[in-house]
Amino acid sequence: MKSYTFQLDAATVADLDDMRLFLEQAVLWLGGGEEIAGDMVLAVNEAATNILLHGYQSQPGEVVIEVMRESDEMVVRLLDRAPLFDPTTVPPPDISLPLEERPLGGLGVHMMRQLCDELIYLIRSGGGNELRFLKYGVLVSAD
Amino acid sequence: MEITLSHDPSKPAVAVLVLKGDLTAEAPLVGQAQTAFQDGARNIVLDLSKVNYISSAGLRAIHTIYTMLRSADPADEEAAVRGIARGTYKSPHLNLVRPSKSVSKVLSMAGYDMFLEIHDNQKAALATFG
Repeated sequence: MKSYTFQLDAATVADLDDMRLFLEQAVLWLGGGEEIAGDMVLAVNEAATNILLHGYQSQPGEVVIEVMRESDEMVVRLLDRAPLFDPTTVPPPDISLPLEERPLGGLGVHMMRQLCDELIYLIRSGGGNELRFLKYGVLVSAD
Repeated sequence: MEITLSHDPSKPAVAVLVLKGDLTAEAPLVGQAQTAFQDGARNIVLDLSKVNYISSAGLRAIHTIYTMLRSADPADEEAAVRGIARGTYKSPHLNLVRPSKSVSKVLSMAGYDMFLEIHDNQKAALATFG
């Protein structure tokens, strides 16, 4: 199985641009196509922003992004050492409400869920969080 | 993200904001919109044709701008209450130009496309503001 890894020992929000570029390229290199690359970039960007701003409270911290493909499945693993937080437990927002009745925010986790086929949360051994973003039905050949 | 603020001389109350790059931060866009508002703009065209990605922070910026423009027009508030119930309300003060496929997807995911008009070009967007 082919994979690409991007590791930062002291990541901050200033690194988000590079993370998005890496992710887009890695998905394309693995044959994911532009739509899957775009969806993964958006989903992971939301999660990584939350980790850097809230998990690490804007202090530099470890972030690892691993992109891999197994047959028709594209998987992104996002790893950190921030305090434990499971975004999959956040309730979905009511997007049918008019804008003025909605709380400002709360859309990040909704985007993460909507943009991938499956979102899995795991606790890392030694502490820290792992989020797995999965997309199925990747048809373009990576060979 | 680069943001260019301009206006059509024949429509001094309409500001055009052209965005270029990834819309992943709230403050720069809200700041430019506030500058336009303080200078008298009561309607805003957001040209998204050169935006690759929009994050939830970008959505928050659009939400904040929408609310700012609404707050200056009590009649709009009444229209919104009536129109939203019927599903026919679109903001008369904020519209969007040519979002990419990826940006459109996010706008629709958040339900923002239900309240904001989307146009093919700046000219069409400007024409909606008398």
